[in-house]
Order: sequence, then C-alpha cells, then structure tokens
Amino acid sequence: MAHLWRRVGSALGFAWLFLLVLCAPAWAHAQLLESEPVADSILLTNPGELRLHFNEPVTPLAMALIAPDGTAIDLLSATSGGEKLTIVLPQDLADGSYLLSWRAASIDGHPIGASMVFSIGAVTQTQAAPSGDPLVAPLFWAGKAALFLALAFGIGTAAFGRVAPLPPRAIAIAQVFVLIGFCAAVLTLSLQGLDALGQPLTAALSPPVWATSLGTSYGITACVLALAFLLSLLGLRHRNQAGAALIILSAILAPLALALSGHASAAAPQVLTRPAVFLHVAGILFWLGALIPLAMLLATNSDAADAALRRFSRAIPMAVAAIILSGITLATVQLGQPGSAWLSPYGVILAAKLLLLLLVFGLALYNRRRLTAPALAGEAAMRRRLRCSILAEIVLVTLILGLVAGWRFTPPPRALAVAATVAEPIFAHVMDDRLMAMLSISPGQAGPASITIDLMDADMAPLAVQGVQLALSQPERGIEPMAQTAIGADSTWQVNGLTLPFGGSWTVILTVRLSAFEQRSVTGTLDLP
Amino acid sequence: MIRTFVRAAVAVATLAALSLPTFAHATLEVQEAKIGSTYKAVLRVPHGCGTEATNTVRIQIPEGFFNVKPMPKAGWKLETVTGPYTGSYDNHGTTVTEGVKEIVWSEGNLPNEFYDEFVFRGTFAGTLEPGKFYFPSIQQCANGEEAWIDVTGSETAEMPAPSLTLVEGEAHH
Repeated sequence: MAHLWRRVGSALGFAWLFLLVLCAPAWAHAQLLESEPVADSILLTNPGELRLHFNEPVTPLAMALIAPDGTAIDLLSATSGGEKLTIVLPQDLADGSYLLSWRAASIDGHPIGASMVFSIGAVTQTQAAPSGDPLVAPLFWAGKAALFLALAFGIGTAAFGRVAPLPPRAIAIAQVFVLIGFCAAVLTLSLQGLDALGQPLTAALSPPVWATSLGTSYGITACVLALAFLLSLLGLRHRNQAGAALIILSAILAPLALALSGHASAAAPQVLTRPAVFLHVAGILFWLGALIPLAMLLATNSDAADAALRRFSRAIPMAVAAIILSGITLATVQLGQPGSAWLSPYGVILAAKLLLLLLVFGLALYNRRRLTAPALAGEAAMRRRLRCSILAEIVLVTLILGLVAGWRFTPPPRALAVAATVAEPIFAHVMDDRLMAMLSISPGQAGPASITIDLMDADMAPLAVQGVQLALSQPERGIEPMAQTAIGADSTWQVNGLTLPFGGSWTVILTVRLSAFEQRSVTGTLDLP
Repeated sequence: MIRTFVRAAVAVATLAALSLPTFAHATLEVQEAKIGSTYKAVLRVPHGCGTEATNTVRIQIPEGFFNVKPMPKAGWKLETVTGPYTGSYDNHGTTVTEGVKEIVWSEGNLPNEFYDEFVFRGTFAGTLEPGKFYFPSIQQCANGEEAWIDVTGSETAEMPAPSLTLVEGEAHH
C-alpha cells in the first residue's frame, strides 16, 4: 500500500513537472525594434537575407518561412547573430507573399515570437495547407486510430472492471492497450507538430516541433490522455482501493481530454459541443470497454459471467442514450444546412460511420432482445451465439474508430460553408462582458486587406478609447502573432495595409487601451476563406 | 534513487518557474504586505522603451492605498495628482476621504542601459481583501511608452502591472 502511494506520488510529481513545462511562461522582455524588409512591404527582387533587430541579444528557437505554395522552409540553421538576427534566404524564391514566423528566447530564457509578411514581386495568397512529409498524414491517422482503440479497449476495459470483476486475461489485454495508448499519445503529439510546421519525419524530435505541438489545443489533449493512460496502467497493476480510484480518475480524464480539442469541441456553441463530446466519449468508453471482458466471461459458464452480463444490460441503455443524443447534437452542429457540403469527405466518413453504427446497434439490439435472457438462463448455444455477436461488434467498432480517426483530415461542412463566400467583407465579433468589438475585414479573403474596428460598450453605445492593438495568430499551424497597431480615434479604428497570407481560422487578440492606466484584452476567432 | 531524482527535479523546476519572471519587468521590490499595514513601495525600472531613455514614470494609486507620500528624486520633477477617494479611511483617528491618485516623476533621464528605482509609501486600508494588488505604471519616453498596466494576472501577460500580494494582517493598533 505504502509502496503504491509512493508510486502515485512519483506519478503526480511527473504530472506537476509536465504542467510546469506546459505553462512555461511567455513573459516578453526582448523587443523587436525593426525588421528589414519592414512588415507588409513589397520588394522587387529576392532581398537575399532578412534582418530582425532586437533591443537585446536573443537566441533563435524557430524560424519558419512559409512560401506562397504553402511549403514551410526551416531557416533556423540559416539564422545568425544575437541582437541583430540575419536570416539568409534561399536563392530560388518564387514571386509572391511570404510569411516569416519566428520564435526566440531573450536573455532571461523566456520565449517571444511574432510573424511578419513580405512579398516579392506581387502580393499573392499563400496556400492554406503546408505540404509536409507525405508519411506524416497516414502515420497520424494510424496513431489516432491506435489512440481511440486504446481508449476503448484499455481505459474502457479497465473501467468496466469497476462494474464487474475482470478475468485475468482481460486485465492483461487492457494493460497492453493502455501502453499502446500512451505511446500513441506521445507519437501523435510529435506528429501534430510536424504536421503544423510541414516538417519531415526526421524532425520528429526537434524542440520547435514539440513546442509548436504543445502550443496547440491538441497538445493539452495529448498530455491529459497520456496522463490518463499512465493512471489507468497504475490502477490496473494495483488491484486495491487506490488502484480503483486511479482507474476511475483516468476514465474521467480521457473523455475530458477529447472534449478539450478537435473539430467538434471547436464548433460553436462550445457550451453545448464540449459537454456533448464528453458524454459521447464517456458513453462509448463504457460500452466498448465491456465488450472484451464480456466475450471472455461468456466462454465460461460461471456466476461471475452472469453477474457481469446482468449489470451490463442494466446500465447500457443509459450509455447508449448518451451516445445517441450527443452524437445527433454534434452531427447537427457540424453538418450545418443540407447541401452539397454533405457530400464532402467529412460527410462521406459520417455516412460510412452511421452505416456501420446501424449494424452495431442491430447486433446490440439482437443481443439484448433475443440472446441475453436465454444466455442468462444458461443455454449454452445462446451463450456461444452471444459471444460471437460480441466479437462481431468488436470488429465493427474497430472499423468505426478507424474511420473516426480519418476525420482529423477533413474540415466539417460548417467550415466549408464559411469558405464558400468570396471577397465580400467578413465580419467578426470579439467581446467580453464589458466591451464589444465589431471587426470588418475587407476584402474578406486572404491577401492584402484592411480591418475596421468599431468598439461598443455593454449597452451597445460607441466606446471611445485611447488606442487599439490587434494581434493575429494561427497557433494550430505554429504561426506566431502578427501584431498591428490600429490608427483612429474614439470608437472607430483601422488597420490598413495588412497582408493576411492565407485563410483559415485566425485567432484575434484585441487589446484596447481604455484610459492611461486601464486596458482590456478580448479574444475571438476570424474565419477567413 | 528515482524518487530522490524526481523530488529534486520537481523542486528545481518549481523554483525556476517561480523565480525567473521578475527579471525584466517593472516590478515592486517587496512582493507581500499585510492588510492595514504601512508599505514602502520600491518600483524597479529595468529598461527603457525599446532603446529609448525613460523621461517620465507615472504610477496609478488604486483605491485602498492611502496616506501616500512619494520620495523626491534628484534630477526628476515630482508631482502628484490628488482627488477624492471612493471610500473613506482611518489614519490614526483622522478620517481620510481624499489623497494622491497618481504620482508622476517627469523631466528625468534614465537611459535604456541603466536601472533605477522609484520610491513611495502609503497605507493599505484594513478593508482590502487578501490577494493581488496592482500599481499600474507607465514609462514614457521621447517617442513611445511602456505601459505596465495589464492587471489580468495572466501568466502570459506581456506587460503585467507591478503587483504585490496582500495577506491578512493582525488587528488594528
């Protein structure tokens, strides 16, 4: 017992370390004084090199140039200098707009970062997706699929052990899955960084890749998942009260982790989608976690098997209701209005998933209506058939989880619908309880644009302020904030001559100077086609 | 063995995470005070605006810090902005309803390469709640400013206002 608590202590210690690393503060001290070329400038020819001039020596951590065709060029090795960083550009740069995203550590070790755009010859759009290593996507898919399977058959199976005692072989299988899950969480964390920066697999261990990945919402998800797998493994190895508590904790952490990121959790309204994702995943974990232990127990004709089957059939209607209700909610939000977008890859995957789901539900219903009662009554043939049916369920569910892992690569129709409108100004609201800003981006597409900002107070009356700062970033792609100072007066402010190199979901942070000593920051998103 | 290592690593990382940040911000020298106590504030200004020299330092005195007296500084003009307080405070039997709301040291010259401290004192009202107390401060230079006015308490704030932590004090004397 004491030994276990020591281990739990170590695990918590590691978790604390983990958190400290995650929360590594981004206090900024070094400042960028000027750059050559200046941001948003159009050059006649390739300047050969870029210069960033800081007020104190800095150590470059990441230096990525995103070309008009979307490829990310790592220029960290081409960067030299301390107070004045010089970045040697490749010779063969095509005409178009480039985005330089940099990250550097100041003397006191704290990282700062920003992005700037410059164009050679003419201003163009940059492609939204960086073309990285072709192996990253399939590996990412495999990692995600492994993660889902490990959640269901590792953490899920462990959690079912709290409903009915697990046969020893089921415990062994759950341990294997939980270990796979831990590895998959770490692997996908690295792949997320590679994918975001468009880097090859060989860069899997490089610090910028990990820093980028940890900065994305998936970074937190993967870290919490890894923690859940570790806790579950500890719980499986120690079959006492402390172990049981760890297993329950991991079964709560796992769905929570998935609710923290992903397409579905990112959809508005998040008050609705995040709990829906949590319920969906929790319901699925309970259901799928029961399958392996039940299939094993039914091979024997024991009282333990009967008890487990009886408890499972009593609880499963609630889990299925949670899965279906939350599933319908999420699909409705994600699909948006009926239309051609429903035929997008996202829609096709959803349709295939629903079809397989119908089969699974059919089997489940058949098991429940026809097989469970006779099996409990001890009919050997029925028990065998129930076992076969559960094995078939496991196969179908594995296919479904594989399909779901593919969703990572398809934007949902709600996002495509936003992308379909062209060139009209795009509006975005950024607000908190005291301040509302209406942003109008014209034209509403990637490329040169200007942004008008109208400020209102909580009563919708114009709000006069002393200054406005706008920062645009894409943390998912490792793009550091592009800061812009708005010009204007009172409640109307404007950012002119801005180049938005590509579309996608930009994070907008608006810092408003209300008076000499008072400022407020509001954050929102801007979906640009 | 492993346990010792883990403990050491946790201790070192915690220490590093907690102790590093006070390096290049405008900060207060004493980071904690008792509610109801007199406090000598020393504002440390570590650098200018970018490379420019600081000419003016303005400190806002929030409600609840009364009986404020700034310390004059050679080479700087010292002024205060006074006004009525929202509440009233007890200064050794005298009721105080107005006082200093802003301190301004101006017409000085603090080059970016140098460091300086700006001192004032006052009393924390007994009615204040425990927690963070901020003194929003602005450095003004010839062509710009550094506004240390972020009071969100966010770990990632770029320019946090100088702050200290108020703790429960003993009963009034």
